[in-house]
Amino acid sequence: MTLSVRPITDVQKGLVYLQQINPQTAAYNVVFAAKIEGEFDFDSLQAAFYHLQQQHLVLRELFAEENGELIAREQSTLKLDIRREDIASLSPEQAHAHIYAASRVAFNLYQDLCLRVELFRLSESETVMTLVAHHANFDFWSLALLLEQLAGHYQALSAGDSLALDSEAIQFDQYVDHLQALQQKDKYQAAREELLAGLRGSDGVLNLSTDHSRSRLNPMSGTSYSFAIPADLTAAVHETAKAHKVTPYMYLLSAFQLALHRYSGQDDLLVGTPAAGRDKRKWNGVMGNFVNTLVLRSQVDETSDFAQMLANTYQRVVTSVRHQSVQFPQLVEGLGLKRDSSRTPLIQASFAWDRLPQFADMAHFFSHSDCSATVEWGGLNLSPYWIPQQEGQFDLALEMGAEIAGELTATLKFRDDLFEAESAACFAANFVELLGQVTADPQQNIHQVKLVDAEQQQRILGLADSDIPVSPAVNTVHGLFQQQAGETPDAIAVRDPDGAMSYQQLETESSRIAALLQSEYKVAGKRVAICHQRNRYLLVNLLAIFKAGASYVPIDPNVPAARSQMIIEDGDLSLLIQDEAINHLDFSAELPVVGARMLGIAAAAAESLPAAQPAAQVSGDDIAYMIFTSGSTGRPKGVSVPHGCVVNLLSSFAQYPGIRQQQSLLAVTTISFDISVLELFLPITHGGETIIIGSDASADPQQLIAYMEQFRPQIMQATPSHWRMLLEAGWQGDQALTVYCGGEALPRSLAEQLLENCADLYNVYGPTETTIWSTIEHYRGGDVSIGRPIANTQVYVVDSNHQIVPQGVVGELCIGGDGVTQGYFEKPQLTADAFIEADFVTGTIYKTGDQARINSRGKLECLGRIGNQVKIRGFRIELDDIEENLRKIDGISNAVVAAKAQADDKVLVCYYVAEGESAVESKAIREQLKAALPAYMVPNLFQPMAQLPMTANGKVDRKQLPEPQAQQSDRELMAPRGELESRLLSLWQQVLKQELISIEDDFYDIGGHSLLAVQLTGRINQQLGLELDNQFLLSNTTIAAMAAAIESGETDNAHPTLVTLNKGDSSRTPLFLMHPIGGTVYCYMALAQAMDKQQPLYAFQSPGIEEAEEAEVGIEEISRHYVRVIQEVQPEGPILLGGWCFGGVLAYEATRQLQAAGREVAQIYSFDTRAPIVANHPDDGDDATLLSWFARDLAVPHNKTLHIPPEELREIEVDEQFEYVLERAKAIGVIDADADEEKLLNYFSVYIANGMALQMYEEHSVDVPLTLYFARDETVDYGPLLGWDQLLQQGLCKVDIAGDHNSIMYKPQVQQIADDLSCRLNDYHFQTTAEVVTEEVA
Amino acid sequence: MSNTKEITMEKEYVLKAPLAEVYAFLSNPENDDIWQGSCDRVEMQQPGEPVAAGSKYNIHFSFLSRKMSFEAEVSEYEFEKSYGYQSTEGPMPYEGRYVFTETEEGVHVNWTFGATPGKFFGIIPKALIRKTMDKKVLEDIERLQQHFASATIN
Repeated sequence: MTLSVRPITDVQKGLVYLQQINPQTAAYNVVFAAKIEGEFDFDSLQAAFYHLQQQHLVLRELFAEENGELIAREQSTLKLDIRREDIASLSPEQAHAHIYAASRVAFNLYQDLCLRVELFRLSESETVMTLVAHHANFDFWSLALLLEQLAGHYQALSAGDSLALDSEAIQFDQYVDHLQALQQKDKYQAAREELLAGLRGSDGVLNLSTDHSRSRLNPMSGTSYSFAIPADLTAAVHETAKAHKVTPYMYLLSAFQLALHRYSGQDDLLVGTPAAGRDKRKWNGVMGNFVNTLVLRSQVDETSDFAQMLANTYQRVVTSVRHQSVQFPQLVEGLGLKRDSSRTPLIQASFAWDRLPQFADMAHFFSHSDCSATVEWGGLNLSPYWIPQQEGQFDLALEMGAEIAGELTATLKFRDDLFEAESAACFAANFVELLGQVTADPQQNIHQVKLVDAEQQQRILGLADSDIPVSPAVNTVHGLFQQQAGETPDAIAVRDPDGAMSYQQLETESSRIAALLQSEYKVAGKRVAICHQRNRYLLVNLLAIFKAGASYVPIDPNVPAARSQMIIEDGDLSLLIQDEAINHLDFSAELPVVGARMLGIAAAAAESLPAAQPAAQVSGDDIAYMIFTSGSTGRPKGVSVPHGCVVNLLSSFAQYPGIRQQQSLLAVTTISFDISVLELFLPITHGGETIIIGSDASADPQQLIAYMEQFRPQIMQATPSHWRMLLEAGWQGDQALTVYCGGEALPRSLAEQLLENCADLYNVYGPTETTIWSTIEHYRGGDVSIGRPIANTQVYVVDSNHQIVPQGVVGELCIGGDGVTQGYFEKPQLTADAFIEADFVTGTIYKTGDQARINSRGKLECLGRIGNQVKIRGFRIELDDIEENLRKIDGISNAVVAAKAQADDKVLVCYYVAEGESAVESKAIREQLKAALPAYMVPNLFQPMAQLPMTANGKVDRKQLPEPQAQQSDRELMAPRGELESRLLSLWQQVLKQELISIEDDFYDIGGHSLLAVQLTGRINQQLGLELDNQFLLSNTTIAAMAAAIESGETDNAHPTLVTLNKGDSSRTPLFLMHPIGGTVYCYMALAQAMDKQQPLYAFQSPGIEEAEEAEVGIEEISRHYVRVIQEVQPEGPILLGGWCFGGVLAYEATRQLQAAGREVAQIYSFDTRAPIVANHPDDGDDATLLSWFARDLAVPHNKTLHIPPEELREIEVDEQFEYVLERAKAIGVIDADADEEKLLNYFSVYIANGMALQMYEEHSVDVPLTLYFARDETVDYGPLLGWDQLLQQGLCKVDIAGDHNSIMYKPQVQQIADDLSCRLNDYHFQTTAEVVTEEVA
Repeated sequence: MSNTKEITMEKEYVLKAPLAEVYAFLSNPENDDIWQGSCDRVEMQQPGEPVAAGSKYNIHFSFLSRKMSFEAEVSEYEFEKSYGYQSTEGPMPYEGRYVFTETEEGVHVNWTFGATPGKFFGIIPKALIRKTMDKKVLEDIERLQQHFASATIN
């Protein structure tokens, strides 16, 4: 029987919603477990529960939805679920696991009452009673009430007494009414505003380093780790808290916040804390969920001390508690932060202080401790039975409050999909360490507080050290070589395509030249530049330089002369050895130059010179080479690398992975890149053979493959890009080849591909500053790490205060040991900044500027550069580079660049300060940047500033940069010229949410996209009484064009599926583009804008977009319709077709049909279309997969990612899947809250129809020329020609386009296609015109 | 044919072969995987026994990226006149019926079919399921006609 329905609080709504979207979660199961010692009267206990249920409304309620609102509904006929189970046959461990599992069974809040009771009989004398309640209608206080009243009732009933109901007792619905009335008051709104004001500016994201990557959807599943604060520290905490006039709760909360700050590196973070919410005494006897979550912000200033932090916490807690009635969901809503389904909103960490007076003698029931003291309860003896509860609510939640035997106990709850138990234990230990330090000296600076305890630090330092044992006996590179030459004089040491030299020959020739360099050029102790072709004589000369006591400075003849000139100018060089074959370089410096061949000839001719070892004394500390690396100033900086460092590297690699005598290594890297040192010298210092090939051959994959096949090297080293190039060029691999891969991040997909194609794969990592490679990983599959340090090398991950971070936590990678070089040549400040001392190690360590962490397997993971890097439309952009170029512009004194979200996109915004009174036009800045930077690095918006916001430390405060304003100066604003244009302008402004719009602005240039186009068309139809279709806004993309079309009545389309993207010159052959899988042609807008406007351009849009019923499910049927239209629009002449992705397949099938009809298709332009061959069909293309793709593609035009795995969708009711996708899309701003869902359903129907059509399409071979625009950065591999070579016998032309499958159709990448395509179509036009003229003349 | 099915179809076509041959072929479920593109395999529950009304068989399909297994039975078997079948167990109920008429051009076949996929195909709109079935059936008929044409040639 249903009795009453009541509204519920916002907090309750939030919890019910969470349970509904995570139906399996037990995160909000409130649990009490206790062992009943001895016999008990089940009937009385049951009756006591039933009586309680009658007394308290919330124990009779279910949740439900009514008229779209969540409500609570009383169900008086539903009795509490009280179960008994005999588990006496289970072992204690099994019994505990069983009871724990039972406590985690999820509630269905629409069907289950919020409390269930289970009695597990362990033995004759022991029964475990668990009370499991859902937090949506029950809180910890309610549990205390329940236990207290249950005890009384049980005792009375078992004694034969009867119980009476208190019909006047206050119930939870009265609190809800009270809260609702309160929320209407100004005072409440003012409190809400005050709290919101205190939270604004926070992004609500806590970036803790996790052991596992964060899944897209928060599974709300967790585990607990229990620990205790030692008694002496507990006492000190109480004492120190008292001394600083804060409660232990505030004190421990501050310590927790400090620990989170250290773990996350964030200065500004939010922690949630539950408040009882019973702000009036009358609520104290009421069961229900009164709890509200308070949000406490902590802005850590590392220059202050813990005492100051305590004072700040005090203020914030007081304010929050004063406004504790302000419901947490209202704060989330009020801040308007973007939702992220992988995290709890606003707060991902929580600190709870559970200390209820009712539980004074039962504290040990709520902590995991050794205390098993029994308490008297309703005449029964209860002892604690520890069952963790409410796990998975947050990334990390620390619960404290209980104190047992003088020790504060603590439970750390953590999401088990993010953290390993060891990491949680580590956090707990570090929390105790930190608590001890701040308690010992609350006045010490926060940055001096150590996080890692001594034991942990020792363990981490143990992981930091190398386990490759190497002690080189020789300390110079040429010394190592000479030692080897003495052992294997007749073996081949070096080879190039034109010849080879034995160890003895190499030794003799290099010594002769060394002697000459020493005697004639006096190079000992100096730097010698070398600009040499890649052949065996290069190695002769490098060895000669070493032997002459000099160091070499490589000049790559293939880099721009201006850069080489800088090296010549900055290198303080004594001589340049220049290969006579390199004659295009003429350096303007007063530097002696000697021809390399001339040097060889002179050395050979100088018979008086000894061929034996020259007398130059070289030690391990002497510089072997100086390599220039790029610098943020735009001028390269030289790194001086001593012989000892190189010897260590070579010896380490000789040991591991190892090189055997006569093993050969194919050297392919330019000598201006330091990794060439390993290639050139590792073999010849350990009995192997170095094979050197020319730079042209190295860069040309076909030549390189040919050399690999010719020489069959056993080892080869290259960058990931180089290896990828080889694979893409058709390299079939070599199962005898050991591959070293380094120099940039090795993607897992490439690693797996390489692994299949070689004997062994080593991922190597290291900066030039620590000598080539510092770590090595033997990759055997799975995630890619950079492994462990090489010999005599240590790696440390440190925080911004140069303190060791805990294992698993992200910090800056620092490298110490024998590879650390002497720093930057003549740049003492740069050297001092990067080469530092640290208190945990003796000697210098180098700060790499790379983010890293040591994972749970003890291996290093490199996570990219620290600092100023952003990714926009697939391009990684170093903001420093742009800023440096901005500062070079006359009239600009300072500038910063930031990536900002705008109109569902991310754009680069330049904030600049003009010099003095000068005014710099943004147009001029843009022009100058265009001359210096690639187009994608030129900011979209320019914002002049009086000054840039600064932090207290004097750095630019990027977080305070304002949102960019529309740029009037960047484009001319043309005002509407009549009533129609004015009305259209108003509608544009509403839809685009922009004020400054010119009637000549292109909709798609100023933030418009497909869904907004639908919205705008709908509004125009509604406001102006028109019946425009979606095509209208594809063909008329400005207000002026729209108005003109409407006024002239050109709104009807003879071919509703054919969109005119560009009318062009009617004498030219039009290009017909076919829509992609989504059915719309918005994806071609950027291409149409970027192409030559002379070219007529049409695109086919699926008829299903307007009428879902029109969607076809066969490629043949779809194409047939378009072929019919093409025949009408272009009744004669060769036809040009094209399409992106699925559109390319339609073009292919249309070709087949056109040819069958006797028409000629002159060319297909395929934009990264995978050939329609069976091998390219997806393995699983069911509706969930297609819906997952649909979600992904919804986000693509917005430069966002929406990944909803098909498995996730299959878990959702069929009827709710589409709605779910829309909700997720709305949550990330891909579609508007008021988007036309019916239209979106049409889109999906077309999408799914096309997806099905693609799967059913059979392979056909068609003879047609096809130009394939290949997205070279696409990670999904469908082969170098996407399978087209299997269908087309001839006429296949491939054009590489930078970008991935999606980004190539959008700015800026699409410009590459537009340029090439325009060029090809122009050629085609001129060619056909010439043919006609020729025919006419003939 | 029940008119309560969510998807119904009707096709008429002519097979150029003797009635006896056409009937024998189409009324034997074991031949389904020869000409129905979506049919993976068929197992008669009483192999070797002549097909008659009540004969049961297990039939397995692949359609729209899903695998489906049914138990079906011959519901009607009027020699050289009509033949009907229906599912008895499986992910969705279906039933079909052939009526054969001898004409001058060959055997005229009238085929009616109905199925209630419910939510089995997930979010795929029924209209698209119907269109896909229609496309597949037309391909099957073409295959069937080729089968009899080649049988005649041979």
